[in-house]
Amino acid sequence: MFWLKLVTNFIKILREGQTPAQVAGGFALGSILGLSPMLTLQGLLVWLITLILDVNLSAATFSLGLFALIAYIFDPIFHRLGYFLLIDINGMKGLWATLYNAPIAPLTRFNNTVVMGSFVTAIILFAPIYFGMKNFVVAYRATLGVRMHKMKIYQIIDRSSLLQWYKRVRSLGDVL
Amino acid sequence: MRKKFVFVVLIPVIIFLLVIYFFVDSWITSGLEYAGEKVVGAKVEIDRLHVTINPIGIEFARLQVANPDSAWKNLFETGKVRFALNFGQLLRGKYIIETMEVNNLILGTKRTTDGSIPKPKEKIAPHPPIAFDSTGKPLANLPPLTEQARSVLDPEGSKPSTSFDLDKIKRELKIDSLLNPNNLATYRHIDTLEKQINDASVQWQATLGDIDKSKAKLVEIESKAKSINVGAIKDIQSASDALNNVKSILNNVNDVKTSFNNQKTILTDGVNTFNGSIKDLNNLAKQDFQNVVSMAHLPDVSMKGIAEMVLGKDLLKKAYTYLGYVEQARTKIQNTSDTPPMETPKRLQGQNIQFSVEHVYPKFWIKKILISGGADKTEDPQYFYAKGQILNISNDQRVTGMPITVDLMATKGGTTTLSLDASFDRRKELAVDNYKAQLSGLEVKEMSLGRSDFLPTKVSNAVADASIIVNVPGRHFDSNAKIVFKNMNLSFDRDPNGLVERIVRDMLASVKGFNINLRMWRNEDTFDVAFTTDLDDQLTSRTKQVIGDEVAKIQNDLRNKLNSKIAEKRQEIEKLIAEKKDMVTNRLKEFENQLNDKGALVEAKKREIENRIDQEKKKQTDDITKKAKDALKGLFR
Repeated sequence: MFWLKLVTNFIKILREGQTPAQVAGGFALGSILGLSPMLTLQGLLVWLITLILDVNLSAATFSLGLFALIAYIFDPIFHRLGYFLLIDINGMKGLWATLYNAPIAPLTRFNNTVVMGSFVTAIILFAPIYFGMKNFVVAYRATLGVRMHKMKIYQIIDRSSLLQWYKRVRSLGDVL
Repeated sequence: MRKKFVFVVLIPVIIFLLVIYFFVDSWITSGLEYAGEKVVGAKVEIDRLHVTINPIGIEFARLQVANPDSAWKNLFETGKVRFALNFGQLLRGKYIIETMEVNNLILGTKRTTDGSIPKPKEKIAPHPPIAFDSTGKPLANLPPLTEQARSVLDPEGSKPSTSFDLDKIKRELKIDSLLNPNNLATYRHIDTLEKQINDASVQWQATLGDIDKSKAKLVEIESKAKSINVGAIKDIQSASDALNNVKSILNNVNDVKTSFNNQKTILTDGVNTFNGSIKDLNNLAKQDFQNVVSMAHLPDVSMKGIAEMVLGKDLLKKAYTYLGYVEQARTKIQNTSDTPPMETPKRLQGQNIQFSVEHVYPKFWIKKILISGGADKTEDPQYFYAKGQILNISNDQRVTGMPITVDLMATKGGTTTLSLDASFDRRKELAVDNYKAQLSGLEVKEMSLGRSDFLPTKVSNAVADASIIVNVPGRHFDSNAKIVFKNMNLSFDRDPNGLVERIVRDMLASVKGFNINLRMWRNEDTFDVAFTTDLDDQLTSRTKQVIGDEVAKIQNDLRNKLNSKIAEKRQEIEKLIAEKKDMVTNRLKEFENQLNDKGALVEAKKREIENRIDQEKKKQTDDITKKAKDALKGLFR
């Protein structure tokens, strides 16, 4: 039910409420958290930024779940990319050695192939995800939303017994 | 900026810190126990672990490490253990411990619970394991020590048991069964040769058939040569034509000859190959003899065989066990590599890469472990209490510049002492391990001597001293152990069977002590053991004297019967090869004679024509000379 609620909230946010920049910001920050392993210094930092900045938390949580799934699927590729960056590029070895022996930096676990590969991927994808999401929210609110509501598939899902049952349970919770 | 973000951030942070505060001790305990169990392969238990904040460190009341080979005993247990971590290096993700205090280290204590852990299913390695250098890179395909040593040291291994009961051997020796053709490689080889010869013979017949076809050409050549009538040649032109004709016939002869020579070479080589194969039979016959002797389980009366059987079982088993520990240290203590090969880690775990730099700290370094064995008054006389120090345990000795050194002294009951000095050097590419152990006054309450099938004997109430030196430089291995048994009593589990066992028993009954030297070494690829004892000289000389002649007699008998059986079969194949060779040679010879005859005929015809041409030329010259002379005479008349 948590996931269902998360998706419903996310769709609601797409329609109205916070600005497209806030939704896109939450979604893009959530993508970094989802793609990278959690227990790293930079992970905590991104969490802190997400909590401090007035970005949409539902979008961030939804994006975290979505990109964690993507990270799981693409893990071998992140491992290879991280290995390539850490081992195969001789010019960067000096930098890695300095960071490895500097204070704090090793707490980022940058020397782990998956952390390195996934974090670099997340950073590269951050801007496209942000701007892509922002444009999507604007478009959704202007035209896409209405068109989607008219789509047969949306109506089938909307009338599905599971969703109706969920709505009843939710309204019951509101009354209580 | 989010409004009231302080609450949004602070409340989770406070909850997070509280959870850590309450659970960090048990998390670290579980983590250390899990890591320890993975290394040891048996239970590791830590009691009352506590994380200290100032200085940042850990202390716990007791550590028990179970013995993986004996689950109801500990490898060792300790009293209070305390150490502090270098905070500055902790910020760099490095675990640096200046001094770790280990109190009351006791070896081999009994456990109140089972210390075994379920073993994970072993994956079958696609290739035999190999040895490693100081960074864990594989050395050239070299199997581990224990694997190489298994066949040499394991007295219960695949070696068939050897009986010393000569009457039984003679009674049970079934020569017909031993000399069964199916067991003899020579027989099998001869059968294969026969088949090959018969197959080749078909090919030879075909080639000889081709040669026979050439006989028709020879007949044609002969008739052509004979058809040239030299007497009928009247002038130079017809002589020249005849010469060209005979040259053409000669070319045909040469063509047939070339083709024949090629076929002859193939046939001769084929036959000679089988002649060469016959020579291999001598080596196979020797091999068959060794196999037959082995299957007969005739006793090996060499010194090694006797010593191994009298003193072997437990001692070699122990040596094998300790060899396993040496190997574990050799392979587990490794430097990290800057360029490790790509692994295939579990999902979301990745591979950690270490970036070592000289003159900085490695990832992990315990500079000193101070071990105290407790106060003498409280010591239990049945256990070893150890004290000493272990220095420089690190994950990269190239960075610390220090090898791991162990200097321990243990005592038991005030009478037995054990000292151990060891170093594990991984500073250079080639790993070097050294061990030196001294043991004195060890009470041996009971120890079995001899194999269960050869006069099982027990030593009881002996005192043993031992000195062991082990050097493991790179792929080499060399260990020397000197063991002295004193004040011992021997008891025998059963009555002796046969003459040899009686001799051995009589000898051992009078023995109150003996020395053993056990050397094990590996040079390049081979592992070997030298086992000597002062019992050997008397024991083996008497044993050899009695059974040596008998064994030699049985061996000679076996050899003669085997040789005559093989000779019979060998004659068969030699006859077949001779027959085939004669057949091929005779037919080749017959054709070669015909070919030579026809060739000579054509050559003779050629010479005849050439002579005729010479005659014709001379005749013409004479005619011209005569005509010229007549003309000149008329001129001057």
